[in-house]
Amino acid sequence: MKKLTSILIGLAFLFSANFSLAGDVQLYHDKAGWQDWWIETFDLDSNNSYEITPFADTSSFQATVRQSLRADPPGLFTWWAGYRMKDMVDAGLVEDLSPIWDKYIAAGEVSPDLAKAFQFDGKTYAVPSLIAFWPMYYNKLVYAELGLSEPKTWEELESNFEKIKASGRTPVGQTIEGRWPAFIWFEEFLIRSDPDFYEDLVEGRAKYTDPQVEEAFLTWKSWMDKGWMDDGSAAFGFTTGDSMNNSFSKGEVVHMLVGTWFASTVTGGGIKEGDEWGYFVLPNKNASLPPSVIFEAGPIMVAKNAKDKDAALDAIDFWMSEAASAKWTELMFFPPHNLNAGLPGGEVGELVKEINEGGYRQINRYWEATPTEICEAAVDEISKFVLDPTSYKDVMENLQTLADNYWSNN
Amino acid sequence: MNFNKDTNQAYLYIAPAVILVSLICIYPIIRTFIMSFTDNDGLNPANFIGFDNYIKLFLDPNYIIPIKNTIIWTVLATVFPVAIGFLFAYSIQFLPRSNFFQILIYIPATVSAAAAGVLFGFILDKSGLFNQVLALIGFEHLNRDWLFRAPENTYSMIGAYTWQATGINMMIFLVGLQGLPKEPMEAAKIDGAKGFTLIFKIVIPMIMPYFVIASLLALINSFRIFDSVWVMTMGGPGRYSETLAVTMYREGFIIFDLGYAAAVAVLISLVGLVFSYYYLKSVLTKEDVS
Repeated sequence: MKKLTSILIGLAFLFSANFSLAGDVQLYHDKAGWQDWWIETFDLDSNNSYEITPFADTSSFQATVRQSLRADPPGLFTWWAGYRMKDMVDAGLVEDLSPIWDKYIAAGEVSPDLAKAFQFDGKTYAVPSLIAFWPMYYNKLVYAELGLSEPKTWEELESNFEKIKASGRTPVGQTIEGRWPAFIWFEEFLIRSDPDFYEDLVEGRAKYTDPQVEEAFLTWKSWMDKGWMDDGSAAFGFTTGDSMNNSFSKGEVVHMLVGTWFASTVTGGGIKEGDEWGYFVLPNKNASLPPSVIFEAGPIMVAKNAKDKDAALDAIDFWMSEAASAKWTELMFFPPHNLNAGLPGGEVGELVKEINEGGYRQINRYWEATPTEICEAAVDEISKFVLDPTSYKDVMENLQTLADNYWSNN
Repeated sequence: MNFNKDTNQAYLYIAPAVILVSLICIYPIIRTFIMSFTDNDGLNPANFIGFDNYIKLFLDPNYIIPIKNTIIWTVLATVFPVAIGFLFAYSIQFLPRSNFFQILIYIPATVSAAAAGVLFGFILDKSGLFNQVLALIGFEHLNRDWLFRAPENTYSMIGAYTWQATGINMMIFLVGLQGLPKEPMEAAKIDGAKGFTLIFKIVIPMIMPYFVIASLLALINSFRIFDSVWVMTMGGPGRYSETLAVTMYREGFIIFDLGYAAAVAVLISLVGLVFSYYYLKSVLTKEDVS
């Protein structure tokens, strides 16, 4: 009996020790590589302690969060913006964070434009963990060798491609590895000719069979036919020797269109940021258009049914502060969400400055801007186009069928 | 039903297993079956929608490719591992150090499908080992990105799967071959049977029950193939290498149409159940005979 009592006391002690170690605020995220940086940033919050749980696999992360939202969700969790968070908003499972936004907007510390990526019916349901733009990465060494300069017009861009091709290199790398990257060039070709049409298309007000989509596919096809783009088979990052990123660092591929979050991977490929690689935003094909750039925001949300909801809301308040934003920018090189925090250094900082000062129109990425049901099937259809560029008419029809199926029921 | 002390005790012995199997297998099967008649999305309360998910499954033209690929997988990933497994078993039984070869051929079976998928991802890459070997032996013209083009990607993945699945089949056949009576073989040899005649007319008919077991096991495994495909191609590009199990995962864990994914899961399970029935029937019949 004595033994049993000691065991029970021991177990009780162990459990109480475990509970005392657990944080006040739980954060679930699928960016396992960011774990140390989350910890370092939230360490600055003296009001709350945190239990930060990384998930290595995105699918299991999504399944866990979705299943937990009605039962025992974490206070904070990362997600994807736009339509990818809409079903949670519609189901009333995430907290309206407008009061926190209002406070920081009133103080002039955050831009109200930033909230738009997370807004539904005038309420804002998330704060940004990631802010990224989608410029063209280019290899400065090759540019210097061939005597090229950053293109300011579509004609200059294509002229650069011709010279790069003539030098035996591939002007543009593209990949459809992992399915999702297929939308990257699709959206880019659309916004370079008609960004209003793009926004109508993703919202179901325009059709995938419209001439603007055909023009986008034909431009894409002509680039592939001319050998300006590779066949899309290369892997994205470091996985294989001939991955898009590795070919870029070797100068075999001279441009890549990727989010600014890819910067550290590019530098990790062995070429120096600023001296050897840089950014430019693609010029418009329709020269009369104002400059624009694809924008991506990754949200942090608060679960309505979380036990630690009040602490989580307090944590969001901290996250929006200058201190948290400055630390996050320092660690991640992301543009800051708090305007008082300084811009990141390097190429990203220069780019953000150019976008802010140049009055660029910021256009939501296709992945978040269109309903998930359409997007997930669309990337496979667009992949079929990359595999066989002559199939664009079939692809357009199939995309419209997907859109019709969704919009007729929603 | 007549309960006495002995039968009660027997029920008690099997109770833990029954409870565990019920909790871990039967309950999820029932839940999945019920879910397949709903519009469950993991967020909102599910509504009963009758057979809509099944009707969608059979009418959606997008499912022609996964069904076609699943059939290709089922046929080829059964035929090759079983046939090659038998050939290895038959050949190495005569070798002096057969244990060494048994281990060598069995080792791939101990590697997880995901790890093997990553490995073959590198091997079958455009600049991978497979293309290098082809170039080395003068077949450079055959070089391609084996996982990027259809239907090469499906056949390449079946090749990778065969590398993994052959070992277990070889073991099944070795057991069968070792248990064969020597007299009919010797009699056949005296009558002049040798080579393929001996294999096809004497050996294979005698170990036919082992062929049935190996084939049914391979059928069950290949019909529900997921991990190898997901790791190597994610069913792409353009869904060209998707199998039904990948469809189920994609609908369930990417699009979160859990009701629809459950309908696909039920279809896969029903076919697997038919194979399993014949598998168990043949195993149990064999045990009854012995």
